[in-house]
Amino acid sequence: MAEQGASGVVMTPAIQVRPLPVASFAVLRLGAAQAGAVIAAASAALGAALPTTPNRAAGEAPRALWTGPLEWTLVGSPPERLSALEAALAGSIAHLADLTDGRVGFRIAGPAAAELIESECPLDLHALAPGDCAQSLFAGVGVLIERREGEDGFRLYADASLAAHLEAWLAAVAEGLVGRGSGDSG
Amino acid sequence: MSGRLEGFGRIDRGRPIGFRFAGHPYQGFAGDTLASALLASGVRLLARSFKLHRPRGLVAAGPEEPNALVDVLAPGDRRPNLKATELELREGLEAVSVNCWPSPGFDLGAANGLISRFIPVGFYYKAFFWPSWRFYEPFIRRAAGLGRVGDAPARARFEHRFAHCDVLVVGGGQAGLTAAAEAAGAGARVILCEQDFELGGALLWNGRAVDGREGAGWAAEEGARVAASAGARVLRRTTASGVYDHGAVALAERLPGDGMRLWQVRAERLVIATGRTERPLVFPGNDRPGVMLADAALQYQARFGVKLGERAVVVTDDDAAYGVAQALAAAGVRTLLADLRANPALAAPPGVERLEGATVVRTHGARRLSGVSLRDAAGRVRRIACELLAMSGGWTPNLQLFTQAGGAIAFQAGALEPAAAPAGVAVVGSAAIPETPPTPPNALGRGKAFVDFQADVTAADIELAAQEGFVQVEHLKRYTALGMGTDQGKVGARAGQALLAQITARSAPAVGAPRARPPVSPIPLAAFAGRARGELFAPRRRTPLHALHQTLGGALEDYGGWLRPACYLRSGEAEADAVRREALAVRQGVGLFDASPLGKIEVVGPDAAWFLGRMYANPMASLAIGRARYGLMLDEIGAIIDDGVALRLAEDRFLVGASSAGAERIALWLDEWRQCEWPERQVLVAPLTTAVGVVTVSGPRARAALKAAGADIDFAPEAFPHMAFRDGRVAGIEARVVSASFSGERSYEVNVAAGRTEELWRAIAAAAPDAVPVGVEAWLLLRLEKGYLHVGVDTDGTTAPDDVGVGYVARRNVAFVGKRSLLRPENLRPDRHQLVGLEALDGQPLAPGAHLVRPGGQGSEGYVTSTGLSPTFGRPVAMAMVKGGRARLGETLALAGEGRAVRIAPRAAYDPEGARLHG
Repeated sequence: MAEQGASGVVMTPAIQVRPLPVASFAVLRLGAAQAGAVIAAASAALGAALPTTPNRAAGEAPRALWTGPLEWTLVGSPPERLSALEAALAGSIAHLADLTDGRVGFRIAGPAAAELIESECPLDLHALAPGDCAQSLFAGVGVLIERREGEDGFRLYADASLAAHLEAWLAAVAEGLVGRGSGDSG
Repeated sequence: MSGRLEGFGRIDRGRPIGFRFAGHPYQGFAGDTLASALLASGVRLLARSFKLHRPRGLVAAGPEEPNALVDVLAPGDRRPNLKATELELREGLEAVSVNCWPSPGFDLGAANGLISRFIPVGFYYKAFFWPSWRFYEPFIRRAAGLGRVGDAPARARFEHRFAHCDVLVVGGGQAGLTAAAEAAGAGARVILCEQDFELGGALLWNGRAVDGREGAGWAAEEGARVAASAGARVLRRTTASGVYDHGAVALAERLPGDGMRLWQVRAERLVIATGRTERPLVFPGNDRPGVMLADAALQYQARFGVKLGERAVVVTDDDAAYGVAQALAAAGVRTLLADLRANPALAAPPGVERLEGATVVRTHGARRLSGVSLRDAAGRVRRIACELLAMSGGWTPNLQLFTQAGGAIAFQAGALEPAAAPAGVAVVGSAAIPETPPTPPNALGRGKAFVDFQADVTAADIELAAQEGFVQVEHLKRYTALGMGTDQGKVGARAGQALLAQITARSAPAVGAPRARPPVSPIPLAAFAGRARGELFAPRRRTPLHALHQTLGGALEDYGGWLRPACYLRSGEAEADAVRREALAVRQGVGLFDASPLGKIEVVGPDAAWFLGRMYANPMASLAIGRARYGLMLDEIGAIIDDGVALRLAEDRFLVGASSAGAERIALWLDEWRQCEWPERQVLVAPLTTAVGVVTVSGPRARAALKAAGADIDFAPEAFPHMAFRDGRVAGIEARVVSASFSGERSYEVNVAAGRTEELWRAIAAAAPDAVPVGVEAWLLLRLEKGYLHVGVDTDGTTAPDDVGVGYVARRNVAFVGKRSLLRPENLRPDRHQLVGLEALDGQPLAPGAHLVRPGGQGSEGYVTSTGLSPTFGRPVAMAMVKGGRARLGETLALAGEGRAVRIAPRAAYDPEGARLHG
């Protein structure tokens, strides 16, 4: 039985799901014209190289996740970095959307973390290497899943309007998962 | 008479298990199935057949069992149609038979058997067409049926799981285990699934050794070795139920408590090791309890230690059953072997009497077998007393999954076998062995000779169907129900096809075999639903004001996937009264409405104006900076897919407003056209919807309320006209205020960062104590009074702009999505349905969806789309789609079926000139 503690959505030996406070969540979109130069300027302003390999993420604050062709999700940008980015984008075909109020995040850790997500998400999490991210569905709604280097489990971002839906599903699925990713069904 | 054989079986005699069947208590052991425990307890009669209510016992021992379906009862739950052969015995298990009342031993429905000669195959099609099938269906459903579904929601656990692997092995017998071990040893990610609760397949009872070790022990060790490999999974109690495109395989894992986990597995390679199934022999009385497949008899004896009788007869046309006769004799059962072949090559096993060239004349016994009459080659008939009649009509490989995966079937000398396998698919083990060719059935004597036990299809039925022209296997299947039971004809269908070939004097390949469709084994609907029940059924979005709505008494309901207040109930107030009160507050004072779900999509770039000019039917490129414009979006066929208000923020920057339900869809729609049609255009699409909260302040005192809350925006009508927007601060919060209206009153949509929406609402409410919270129902009533369009309510997937009074867009001299379709003859018909207002002449409310006819006439002239009781006028207001409606203002129509008179009226009942929007 999953316990719903004050500190998390799910807290069992196999799975710990905690809300992940997102200080800043923004999406940067660039036009194709002179994209290379704009990427370089934007990376310099952010202090993090925007990854150009699909579904890769880089940097710490901000963490830049490739979420589409010429589209990056920037998580945890200090305000001055975003201001610098705005300045660097002036005159370019670009759009920076501040979605901080519209997104929620979860940290999903523990030996059954992958099983929890795979219960309702068709992605192969085995193929998600540290530093990878991917967009998919969980429990019927769009999510952005990230696996960070040196960190157990996954980060999951979704629309804030769906937070209650996701919390209910995460808790329901976690119930009964004991973290036997392989082996015999017994 | 029955019981167990000492020293036989894999059951744990140290762990007795109590259970109940048909109301009676019994005892079995750990390692039993319900079927084996019942047999060991002397129960032979387990069920009544589907159509004829004939007494039936166990025919098989595995998932192919056609007869022994039971309902399992648990407190507050009833799981129907489970196979006794698949139910692992557990303490307290309570099962009842299906399709008999009050019990399988005394079944009132058995009267069907007495009139069976009058209900031949196709009877239902032939007899029940007058006055209509529906008249008879309830009676037939009650008489002929399977288990009962419980009344309460399923309490067992149902869930889903996705998985990916390099190799998926279906079947945990010797071949499957070998394949899985090899793949796991090579480092592959392996999933091995086995439908039984034990690995080993036939090794569990055929006594064969593998690598010099006892077979069952080898299987357990090999399975443990696979399970211990990194990334490998061994799933027992798991049936692969279907193979789909791109290597997708569905697995159904039975969970404790008779729940189920549905797996969707994507496998690089699929290894099919599904084994083979023994075929029955077709002879009179072959369905009597006590007649079973020879290999099943062996399994009950060798795996479960069941003593099936003192005397047994083994009837076969195949060598494999010789081993069964030998094993029965070795266990002390007096065994006679009746070989249908005249000169069998094999010698009779030691201690077993053999009859060559034998024919089964009939079986004896009432509810259980007491003997069998056999005719020998010389024509002499002998009656032999026995409690077990083990039959073997040869073997057919289980190729359901193989054919679903795209594998081909071939026939060699009348024997079915797997042919070319598609890439990435392999079939191994006994599933890869060609079948033993079916031999013609026994000469048909007196009594019913069954082919498909579950569907009650006899040899005579197949003969009759063939006479009536149903000579294609797919037709035969549908006409006779051969292979259409919950067992999907695993036991009988192949014998039926062979019989059809014989009757129609065609070769086996000419007759063919129907393609086995998924699922290979039944899956309860609850498993497809998984956890998506109750609160988890569908995502319901919450607005940033969710908590506030709750404290304000908001009655939250689902509107287009959003949980929104229908109205705000005051203590003791009825919902209709609350809606009326809220609507009047907007007409007379000021209301606050949570419009946060409205879609907000920024479109930017040098080509933004050009792009939106293409995406809207209305002109957008000419929109002035600082102004707002209402627009319709169409799909390629010219149908309206959404409407909303767009703002021009700058020369190269727009904010597209989409409906609440369309917010996500329209953002994807815009991006699709941008990416796929005009990738060379310099434009970006950025959805912002849930990052922005919206409080709409509406009513004649809206301006005063905003001023009271404190705003640095000049709200004077000349400074801030209708359909414009201003950026500034409201109540100290950075805001974008849009003057646009859905209510018909002067309205301001105040957009702020979502996290500050509640603060904004509270500040306005505190500064303007007369401001009334307004729910969605009042909001929709206000727009109905005003005659405004509600896309998806007043429109459907065919409604074009002209149908809702915006026909001028088709004459615009520019291109936009859907325009070409607006010029088709279909779109230019004068009698298309057009949106008009409707007045009920008797003052009574109109039902949405009600059709309209000419007085005294027939045929629909249109239908009501929106309806409500106007708080402003104290009478019903409605809109309708009426054929050529705009030219028929003032015409009187009648409600179909009721005759009530209605009059076609202008859409806007309230303020048709729009004076109140500008005041």
